[in-house]
Amino acid sequence: MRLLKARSQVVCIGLVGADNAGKTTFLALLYALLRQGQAIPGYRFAGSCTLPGWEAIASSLTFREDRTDIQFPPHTSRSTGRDEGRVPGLLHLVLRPDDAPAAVLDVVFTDAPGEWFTNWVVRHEADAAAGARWVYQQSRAFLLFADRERLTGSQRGPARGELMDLADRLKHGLGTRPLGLMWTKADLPNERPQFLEDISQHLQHDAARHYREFEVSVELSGAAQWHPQVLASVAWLLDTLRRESGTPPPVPVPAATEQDLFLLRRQIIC
Amino acid sequence: MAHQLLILGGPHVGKTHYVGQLYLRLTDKRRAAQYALQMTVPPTDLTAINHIIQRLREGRSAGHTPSGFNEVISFTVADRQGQQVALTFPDYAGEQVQSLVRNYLIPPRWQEMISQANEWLLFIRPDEIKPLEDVTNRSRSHLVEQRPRAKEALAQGELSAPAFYIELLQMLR
Repeated sequence: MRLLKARSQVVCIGLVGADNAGKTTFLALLYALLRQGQAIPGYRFAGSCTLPGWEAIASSLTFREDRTDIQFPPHTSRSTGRDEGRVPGLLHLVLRPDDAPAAVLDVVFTDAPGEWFTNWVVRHEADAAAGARWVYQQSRAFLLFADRERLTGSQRGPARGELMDLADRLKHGLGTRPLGLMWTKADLPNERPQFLEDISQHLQHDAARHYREFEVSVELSGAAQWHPQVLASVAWLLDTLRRESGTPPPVPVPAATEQDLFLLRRQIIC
Repeated sequence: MAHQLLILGGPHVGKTHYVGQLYLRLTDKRRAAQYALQMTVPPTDLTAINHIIQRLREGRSAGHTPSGFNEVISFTVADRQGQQVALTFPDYAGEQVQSLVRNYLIPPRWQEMISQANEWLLFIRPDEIKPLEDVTNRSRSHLVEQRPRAKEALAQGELSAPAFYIELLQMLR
């Protein structure tokens, strides 16, 4: 992390959402797409300090001979060993903008368990929400994950409440930081369009200055529709950030956790 | 002018065969006219490629370079203008490259080879790289027809081929 900071400005993108909303799956799909040679529109892949971490989460979305179904990445665990739940797993990408090929953009994605955010909504200063506070403070841009399966299922009431609370919490003090809403599991039939529309209306009400919605799913049947949105969402966040300010403040690294910050091996945080 | 050429690549990509083939061509006086380079000073030590050139002369391919085998082949070539270039090829077993990435550690011997080399040649055998099959190109219903996968590699947390080469180049940079 110190090396990255010496080289360029690190852009931290916070992935925020309830448990099982698809944050890690989103990262795995992003990496799988990059690995297959697809690009984030406007940006060229130029390396990563956390390839084993990416591989570990993507391997969950890679088919195996002994399985007849893909496995979704395992639930990100709240207990993070030495970090004690204070710093999320971080996955790193080096990107070169097409319009400035000499520039290097270090992008870091947070991979934090959903419980952190649930705790954070209930009590901002809760000990169990330290990781969520870190994500909120350090991130220059956010992706909020809305689990469409849960939001149209029998638990839709509480799920909607959770999502709205989380969105309100995020929007408080958001400033100019862009916020993307990610509808996940978009392959499932949308049986309650009005319900989802209401949520969208709520989120857009006194919305973040930069707000956009995306729909994603790992389903291949709609790959042409949903997979590009994974890449597009990252491009939109980065484009917005670069337009907004040329000089994001550096990410302060807590000294005690610096060794463990990177998700080199997922075991570190599991 | 002395040049050290480092040929990089995992096992079975043909690193030693490449040097063997190069040697046989440069020493083939009958076809010398076809080639832009001529060997002016032959290698003093052929140990590393001796076995391979014998096999190639029989029209066959040779076996695998044993691991731990570290030889260097050196010879001097000259181009048509008479410009002399002394070439050095370190020879090693491809497993060493794999273990660089696997252990995230560059041994001193490798550090030396990497920094001394004037050029790197990265060898990749595309036919030995299994196509990646993941959610980006296979639907769940196609799984029944899946070809056998390298499940062991994944279970051991090994990198996919694209990640392996990216990591290798990042480490050597």
